[in-house]
Amino acid sequence: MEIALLEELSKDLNSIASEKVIIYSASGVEEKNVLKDLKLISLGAEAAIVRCTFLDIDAVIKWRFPKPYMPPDLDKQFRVSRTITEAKALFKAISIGVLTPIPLYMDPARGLLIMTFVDGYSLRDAIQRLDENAVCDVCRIAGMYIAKLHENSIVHGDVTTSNIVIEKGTGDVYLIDFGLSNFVKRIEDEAIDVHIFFRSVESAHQDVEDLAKRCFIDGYRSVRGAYTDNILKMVLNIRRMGRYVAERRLRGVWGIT
Amino acid sequence: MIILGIESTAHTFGIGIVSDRDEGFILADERAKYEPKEGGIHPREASRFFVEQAPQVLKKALEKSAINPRDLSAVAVALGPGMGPCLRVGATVARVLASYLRKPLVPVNHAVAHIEIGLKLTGMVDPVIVYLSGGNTAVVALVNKRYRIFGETLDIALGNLLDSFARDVGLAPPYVVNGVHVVDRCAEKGRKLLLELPYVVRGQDVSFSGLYTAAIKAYRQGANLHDVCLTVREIAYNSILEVAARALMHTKKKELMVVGGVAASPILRDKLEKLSQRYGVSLGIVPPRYAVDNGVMIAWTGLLMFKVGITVEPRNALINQRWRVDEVDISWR
Repeated sequence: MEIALLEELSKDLNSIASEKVIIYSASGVEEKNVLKDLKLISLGAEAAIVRCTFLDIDAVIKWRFPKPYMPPDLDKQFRVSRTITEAKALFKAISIGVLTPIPLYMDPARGLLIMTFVDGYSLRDAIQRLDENAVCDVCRIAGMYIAKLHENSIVHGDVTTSNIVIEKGTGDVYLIDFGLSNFVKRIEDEAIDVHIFFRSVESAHQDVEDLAKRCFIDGYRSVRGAYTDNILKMVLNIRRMGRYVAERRLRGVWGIT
Repeated sequence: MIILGIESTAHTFGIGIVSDRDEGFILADERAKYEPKEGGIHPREASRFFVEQAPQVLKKALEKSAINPRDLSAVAVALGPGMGPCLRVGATVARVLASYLRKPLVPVNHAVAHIEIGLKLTGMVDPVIVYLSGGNTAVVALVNKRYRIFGETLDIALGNLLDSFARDVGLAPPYVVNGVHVVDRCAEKGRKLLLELPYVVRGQDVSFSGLYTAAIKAYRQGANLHDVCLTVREIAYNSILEVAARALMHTKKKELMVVGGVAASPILRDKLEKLSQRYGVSLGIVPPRYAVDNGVMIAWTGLLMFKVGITVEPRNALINQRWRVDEVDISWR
């Protein structure tokens, strides 16, 4: 499966993979491939992530491959619009001080986005090894990042512990995968970001659940202040909208909200 | 070991009798389905229908299985999630049977039962489960002895969306004709997708209420009904497929199983086959007869639970309309 995918990708990459850069310098002429060392590192639902070297930069290719089960025009529309939105959101995020991969090259028609590689561990994988203070720090920074994005009308759309990355060496916290991000300023969408983070700690990291949530909200509050309480109220509302939620019964029977 | 199971969570009053032998484990499978003349399921009307039908269904099931009720090992009943008035009929019948026959009573979660009968019939061991029905839309997988929810709908369920939409544009009832949902049928003549309808995937969750509103609005503003049907179908199914693919990648499981009433859709099946090919996982689809609500799945799950000693006193066997699938300890696996 993976080999078939890579073959398909290399066809799409052909236009840039065959290009070369020629560097003229005092010491002579040097010819380099634009793209080399392709290696599939993860296959997601929506895209494949391929590690590569792009113009000597350690990079990843995010390739939104065609989905055989989708009608082609709908599939195409998604791939194009999500690729563009992702690149836009990444640039915007960087400009407001959120650490993310930096976009280097894009080809929306083919669903291609090349960006810098962040060498580190996801919070999801690292959380067992970190002590309480470190977990708190990472979650607080993540909360600050999300709040900054919200202040600037961006919702991330997939704030899970897999998408929070701690860089090796520096320990800097990066936010990755803006594939489901969107430019909106609605409290419901902002609250869903917070809800998704909560759910991801509840389902995978029960032992640090309270700490991670508290620190995330501390960070969020440090940017957005009292507005955070409105967000938390909305998170509660969203949870009650779900199926078969016991709390909802209270409102129905007793008029308590 | 022989277990009698009672299902009455929504539109079907069903009694199933199963044994723990491998060949022909289903001894009886009797059902009475409430079909509304117009609109959706009215809980009161459905429960009245159940009250009228229950004795007949029970009698037929016992005759079919040719067993003496005294030979039953236990009685199992679905206590939730579902509609209160409907659940109460099944619970009452179960409490009476268990007390009168002096047999243990086993409390079964309806959603867990859909999953367990699916595992039994597809032979899958540890799949990612896509549970689609009128009241449920969730992607779950067994982790640490619970069927944990990886993604679900933030508002209405897939079946709910299709049924409500069909009703509001005048396609239903009946909702399903010859095993095909009327929205699927109407979509066959659709020519183009209305790209302005919202496709909502948030993390691992989906949301259909916005799609429902936008679809009704598009239709009222004069869009071709077949095109609207096609768009609703494609957006709804594909968002679930995306979430299912996420769960597969996240859990690294190698099997994908589809359960629940909507699993019968041939269109969805085709898409799932392509998806599982792409990701190199095997696909299990529960046969339509057991994908919809039935008594057999309750009896079978009751059997698994009874084997590890889970029972309830009849006086404590109360229904729970909002009994989530992830609240049940799966101690038998």
